Amino acid sequence: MTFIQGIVPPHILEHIRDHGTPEQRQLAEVALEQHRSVIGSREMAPGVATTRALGAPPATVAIYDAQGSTTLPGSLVRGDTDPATGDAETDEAHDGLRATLDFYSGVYSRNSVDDAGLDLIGTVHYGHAYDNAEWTGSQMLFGDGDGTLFNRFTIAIDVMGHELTHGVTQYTAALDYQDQAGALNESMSDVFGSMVKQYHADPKQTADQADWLIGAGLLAAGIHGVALRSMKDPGTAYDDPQLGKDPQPADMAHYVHTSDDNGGVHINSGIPNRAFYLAAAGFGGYAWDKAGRIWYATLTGGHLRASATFAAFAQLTVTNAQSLFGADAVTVVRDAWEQVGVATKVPATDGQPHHKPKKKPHTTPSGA
Amino acid sequence: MRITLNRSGGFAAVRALTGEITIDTDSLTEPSSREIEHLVGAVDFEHAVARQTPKPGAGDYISYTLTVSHDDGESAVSFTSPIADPTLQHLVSRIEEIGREKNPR
Repeated sequence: MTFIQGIVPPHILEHIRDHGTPEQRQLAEVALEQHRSVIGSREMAPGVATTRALGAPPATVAIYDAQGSTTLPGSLVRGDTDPATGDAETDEAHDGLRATLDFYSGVYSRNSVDDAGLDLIGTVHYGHAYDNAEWTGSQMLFGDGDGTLFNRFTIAIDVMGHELTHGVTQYTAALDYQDQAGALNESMSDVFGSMVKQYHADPKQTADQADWLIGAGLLAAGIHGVALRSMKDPGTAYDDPQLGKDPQPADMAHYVHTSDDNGGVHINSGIPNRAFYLAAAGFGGYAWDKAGRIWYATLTGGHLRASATFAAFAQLTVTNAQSLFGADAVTVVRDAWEQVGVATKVPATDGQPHHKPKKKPHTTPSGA
Repeated sequence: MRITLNRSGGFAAVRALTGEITIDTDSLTEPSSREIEHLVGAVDFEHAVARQTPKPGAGDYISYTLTVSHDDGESAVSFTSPIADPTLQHLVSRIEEIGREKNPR
């Protein structure tokens, strides 16, 4: 699909998107997303990614070892082209970040978190028995886990996909890490993290073959549970006397109002997570082909506000479903959101551009 | 001296790793009590904590609120992981260890 990217001017791509066959529309939309992300990254991250490079070299992955300290980044233990070290955390972090880069590049033609080849840094063995994995805004870090509740945090490939996707969100919609926008931010990380796992499974998994679990294998032996989160059945991943019970709601009727965890960003993400699962299952096939492409266009298209609500995000997915895949896709996506209790509207007119011209002052992107 | 550490968030965000741990240094062993009081005195809260707000775009960080109550009154500070200040990091780790000893898993 890259054959049109960077060669055909945007106004022609827009024409193809609006008047082409469904496949042409899809290719044109992807190319337009590429174009918008160039413009978008300049506007949203001044001084960070000012030069988008269509010819930028692919990002490298470097793994550092904090050796149980909290000093970042620690010492380099595996560079991009170095062979496996034999240390599980080092090699899992390296391979998981590489797999995530390959997923974004292979499926969405995205070159690293900033789409300009930003080199990635992951620190393993961070802290003593540290029970967390984080994206700091400039690198990833992974704890060893305490061994009683949690195993090492690199054990599941979707954890690397989750953390790296926080970087993608940072450089695109920059969703606030608070309340519904924060739960959407978390959901993006679970959605794309889960697809990284499905894409790198051998053979690749379709939506109905995938387990839709986040952090499978992360719970220590003896803990009652299968993972940290279930996108298919939020609230069912674990129920353990020591760990507690999976608190995720599956629909808006059970939305959790709390001031902890930035307004429950890791709790209420269950709602948009399930909407994505339902859309992917509704389309069938590989999640990244249709549902993933719609969600990716929504995250990176430049029309999602940093403070977006579930409803605003949902409406943009409907608009993007229309422009990428047409009316049948709109039905699938609207059904998915309806099942989690988020109402959406039918897009105004088939084939109309789904946003107003960016340069016109005081316009509001529809649905955002 | 009474110390309360409130934790929320993190990638896992499970009940076992979040919520409040309260320690009364009077109820600790003499060495632990001395260690905690020493650490509280050694942390440069104003400086260490001022650098500990999340960077734009950060995700899955743990949010902490540390409240120290003693005869002179009460003070509270909030910060997030990753904790750059080694003394503050040590204090948080020790409070969490003591919390686990009080409530063994």
